[in-house]
Amino acid sequence: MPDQISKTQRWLDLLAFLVGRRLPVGVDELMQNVPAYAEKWRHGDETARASVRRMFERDKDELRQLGIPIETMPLDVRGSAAEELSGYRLARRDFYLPYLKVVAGEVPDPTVDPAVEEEYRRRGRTLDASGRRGDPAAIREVKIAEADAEDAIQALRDVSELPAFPYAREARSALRKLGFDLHSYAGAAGATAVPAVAPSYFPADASTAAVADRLRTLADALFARKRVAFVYRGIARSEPTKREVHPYGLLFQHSRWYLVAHDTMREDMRVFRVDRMDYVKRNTKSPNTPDYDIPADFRLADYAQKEPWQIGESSDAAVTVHVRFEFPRSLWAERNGHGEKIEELDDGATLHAFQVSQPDPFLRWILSFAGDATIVSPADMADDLREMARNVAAKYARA
Amino acid sequence: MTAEAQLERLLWLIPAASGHEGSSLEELAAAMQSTVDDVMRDVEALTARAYYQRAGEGDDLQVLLDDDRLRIWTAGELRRPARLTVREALALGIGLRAGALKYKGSRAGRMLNLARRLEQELAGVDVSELDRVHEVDLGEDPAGVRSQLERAARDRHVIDIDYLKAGASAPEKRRVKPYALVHAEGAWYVLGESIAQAGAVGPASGAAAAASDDDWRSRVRAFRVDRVLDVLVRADTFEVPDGFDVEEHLTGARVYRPHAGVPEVEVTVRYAPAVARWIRERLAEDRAWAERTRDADDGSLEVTHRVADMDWLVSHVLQYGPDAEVVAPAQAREAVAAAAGRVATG
Repeated sequence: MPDQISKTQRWLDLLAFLVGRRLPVGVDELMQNVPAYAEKWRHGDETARASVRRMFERDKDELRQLGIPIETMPLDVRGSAAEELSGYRLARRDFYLPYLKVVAGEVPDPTVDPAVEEEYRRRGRTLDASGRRGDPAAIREVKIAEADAEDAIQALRDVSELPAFPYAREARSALRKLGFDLHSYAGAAGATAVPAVAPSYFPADASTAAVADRLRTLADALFARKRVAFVYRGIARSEPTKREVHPYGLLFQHSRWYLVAHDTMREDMRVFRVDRMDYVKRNTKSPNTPDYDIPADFRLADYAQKEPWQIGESSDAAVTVHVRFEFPRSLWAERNGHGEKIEELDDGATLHAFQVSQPDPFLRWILSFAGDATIVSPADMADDLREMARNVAAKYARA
Repeated sequence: MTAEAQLERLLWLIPAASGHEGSSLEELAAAMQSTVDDVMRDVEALTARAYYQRAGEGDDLQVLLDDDRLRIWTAGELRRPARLTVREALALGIGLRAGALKYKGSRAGRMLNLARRLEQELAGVDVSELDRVHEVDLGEDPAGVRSQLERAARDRHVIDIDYLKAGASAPEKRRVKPYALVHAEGAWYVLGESIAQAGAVGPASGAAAAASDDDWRSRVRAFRVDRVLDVLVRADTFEVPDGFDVEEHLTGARVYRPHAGVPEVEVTVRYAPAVARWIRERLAEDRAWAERTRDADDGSLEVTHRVADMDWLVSHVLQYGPDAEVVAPAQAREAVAAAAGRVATG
C-alpha cells in the first residue's frame, strides 16, 4: 500500500500530521502516524526502518527548501534518562499566511528593538508588532491600509504579466494567496483570479520563450551564487564571445532584461542583454556551495534608471550636458523628467542638464528630435552634434 | 507535474474549497490558470488518501464533489494558504519596488516600506539580500499621469487628455475611453476609443460623430503615455466592447495598426553595416516591422517600411545618425535632409 502513495500525498500527510500540534513530535510517533513511513517503521527490520527514516529526512529537507518551516527541537520526555531527543514541530504561526486585515488610514511601521530584530532575522524569523516571539499556535494578523492592499495586488499583477519574468509563476501564486483575504482588490474574475483582460498588457515577441528559459537559469544561479557561462553577441564585437561570469543582478529596463555581472575573464563589471545570450549554463558542481559573494556595497540601482547612453561597457566618467528643448517639446521633456530642468527660457523653451557617459548614443538621441532639441554646452559636444547632422545631411546632398 | 508544484496547488486548493459553499471547479481552474482536468487530478490526489489511510485516519480532510462544485471539509487545519515562499515574497517585493519607481516623494517611500514589511511579515524570512539583486523598471511617472491612466482604465472612467502628437506645434485635447495600457519597446501606450469632444481634433468629429457604436473599432487609437501632458478623469464610465483585443492593435511587438483613410507610404532605408546587425535582430523579433529587405554586398541592409507618419520616419532615421539613409521616395529624403540641416545650423 505505501508503494501507491505519491510523493505529494506523502508530503501532505506529513504536513497534516504536524501542523497545529503545539508540542514537538518525536520521531517514533511521527514515523508511526505518517502512512508512507508507518508500515516499514512498525514491521520492518532495521534496514527497512533506516530506509524510511532516510526518506523522512529527505522529505523534511525538501519541504524546508520549499519554505515550509519544519523545526527540529529538543524533545523533553518526562521520566526519561538524561538523553535528549529531537522532535519536530510545524508551528501554525510560521506555516500559515498571516491574516491580512484591511484598515482605514495609515498603518504605522511596528517599532522593534533593532538588536532583537537582527537576532530573529539571523535565524530567519520575524517578530510581531510588540517585539515578542508570539504564540506559535496563533496565526498572526497583519494590518494593511486599503491603498497598500491595492498597491500589493497591482504589483503582483504587473510582474506576473511581464514577459519572461523568472518569478511569474510565483507572482501568480502569491496573488492567489493574498487574494484569499484581499479578494475585493484581486479582480472580478473569481475571488483570486488574475483578470483575463488586465489593464496593463505586455506583448510577447518571438524571443520571449527563449529569454524566459535563460532568465530562469540566471535567476537560479543568482539565488545560489553559482557561476554562469554563455555565448554573447555584444554590440561592440561582430563575433560572438564566450563569457564566464558571476551574476550580481537581474534588471528589466527599456522592455529588455539585463544581467549585471562580474566578468571573470575581464575582471570587471559588465551589463549583458539576456536576449543576446546563447547556451546559458549554470555551474552545477557543489550546488549547495556558492562560487562567489556579491560585495556588500553592490547596488543594482546604480545600473537601473539609466538611459542607453548611461548603460553599457564603458567606464568613462559622466559629462554634464545642457540641452535646450523648444516648445512644445519642452512640455514633453518636463512632463517626463528628462534630465534635470535648470531654467525656463523665452517662448516656452526649457534648459535641462544630463549626465552622459556614452556620447555617441546621446548625440543620436538628440539628433532624433530633428531640431526640437539642441546641445548648449559643452561646446565640443555641441560641435559634435552639428558635425553628426552635417554628415547625415551630406548623404542627401549627393544625387 | 512535479511534487513541489502539486503540493503548492493543494495547499491553496484545500483552503479555497473549504467552507460551507466550497468553490466551483471552473473558478478554481481559472484562479490557478489551469484546466478543470488539472483540478480533478488534484482532487484525485486528495481522495486517494482514503485508500491507504487506516480506519479512523484521514478524517482530517473530506472531499465532496457535487456536480461542478468542490467542497473540502477539514478538521481545523489547512483552512488558510501557506505563507509566502521566498520567491513569492521576492516577486511581491520586486513588483512593489517597480511600482515605487513611478512615484517620487512620500508615495515611493511608502511603497518601499510596504515591500519590506510584507516580505518579512508574509514570508517570515528576510529577503533583502535577494531584493537588492533584482529590479524591474517599468518607467518613472513623475507627473503621476500613468497612474491616473491605469486607474481610469481599471475603473472604466472616460478621460480628457492633453496630447502632444509628434511634430505638432501645440498639444490637442482628446476625450478617450481608455481600454488598456500597453508596455512595448520601452514605452507605455494607452489604447482607447477616441470619442467626440467640442473643439477637439480627432476621428470622432464631423460625420463620424453620428456613427453607430459598432464603429468603435475604427475609433480605437494608441496614445503614447509620455506624450499625454495632462489627464482629467471624468465621472462618466464605459464598458469595454466584447470584441476588444489588444493583439489586434499590435503589429508584431509594436503598438501600431494602420488606420482606414490614413495613407501609408513605402519608405526604403539603408542601414550601414555597423547597425545592420541590430536591425536584423529587430526584424527577427518583429517580422511585421518591414515590408521587405535586401542585403547589400557591403554588409548594409535595405529595409522597406510602410509609414503613415513622416515625423516618425524622420525621428527613426535620425536616431541612427550617419548609419541610416533614406533611399526613396524623394519626399522622405527631403524631410530627413531638412531636419538634419536644421540641427547642423542650429
